Amino acid sequence: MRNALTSLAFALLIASAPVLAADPPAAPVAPAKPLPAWEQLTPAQREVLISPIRDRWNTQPDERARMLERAQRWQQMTPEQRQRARHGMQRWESMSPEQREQTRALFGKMRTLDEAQRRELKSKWRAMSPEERRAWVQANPAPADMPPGPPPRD
Amino acid sequence: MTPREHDTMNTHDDRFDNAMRDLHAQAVSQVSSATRARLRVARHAAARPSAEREPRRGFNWVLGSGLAAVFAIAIGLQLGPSPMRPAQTPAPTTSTPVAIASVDTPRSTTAFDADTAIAALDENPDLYLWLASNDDAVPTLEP
Repeated sequence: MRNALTSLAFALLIASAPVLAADPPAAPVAPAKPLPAWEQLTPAQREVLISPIRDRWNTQPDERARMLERAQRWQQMTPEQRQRARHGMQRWESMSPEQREQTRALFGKMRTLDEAQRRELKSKWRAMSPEERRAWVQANPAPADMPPGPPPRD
Repeated sequence: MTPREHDTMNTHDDRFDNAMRDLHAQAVSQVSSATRARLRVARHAAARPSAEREPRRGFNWVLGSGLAAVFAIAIGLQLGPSPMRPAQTPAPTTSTPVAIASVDTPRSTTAFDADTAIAALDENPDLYLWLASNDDAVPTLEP
């Protein structure tokens, strides 16, 4: 349990690095003093960082396996992949529920296709009207579970 | 209980209260004007002396139940998971010591926001990776 939480915490820190490193809040901040490594943080600092994960872990037992799987995938990514994934995550955050549903459905379908089929679907998707996209998503719903794995390249 | 624990608990309570107030305000704003008019009627009816409203008790009971159901649905829609992430949106918990954006407050991009950070574990990171490379393929933002 402790290892799992630590793993999740590191993955969260990796994934949220831009958020943590963003501009400081309006309140005056002391001159920048680099924060130490995790092992040197105070228990209170660790608590602040880890408590959101612990809350999620404890309140959603059905999600634990997925959380751990995703955390491990973040760790496996190269720094360049992580940077791109963070960009994608920001894009995701700005999307409406319907757009997310469409994106998940499209991503889920793309993973089952070969390169030529993916190109074809992508081209077809771009030409679709909003109504046609909704109909396509209804006919091709996102799988309930999408374990991490190599994503389609295009 | 130490004073510090007491302060922390108050902060959590305040945050929870504010979030609930925001949620209530948002739920009310989503109720149609017709429903709000019915709610006003029900409120006035409830404020009248019992002898006056006795003959309409049955009707008021039905109306009250209906309105309660409307509010429950409105709040449920607000609290419920999005269609695409069933059971993955975290319920606000009072034990989270970091800042949590209120329901209708735009998320700050400059502060540590637990919800944003946790989003890293909400979805398959490969979906995020794919999305970054296919930004043009996904639907554009609609007004």
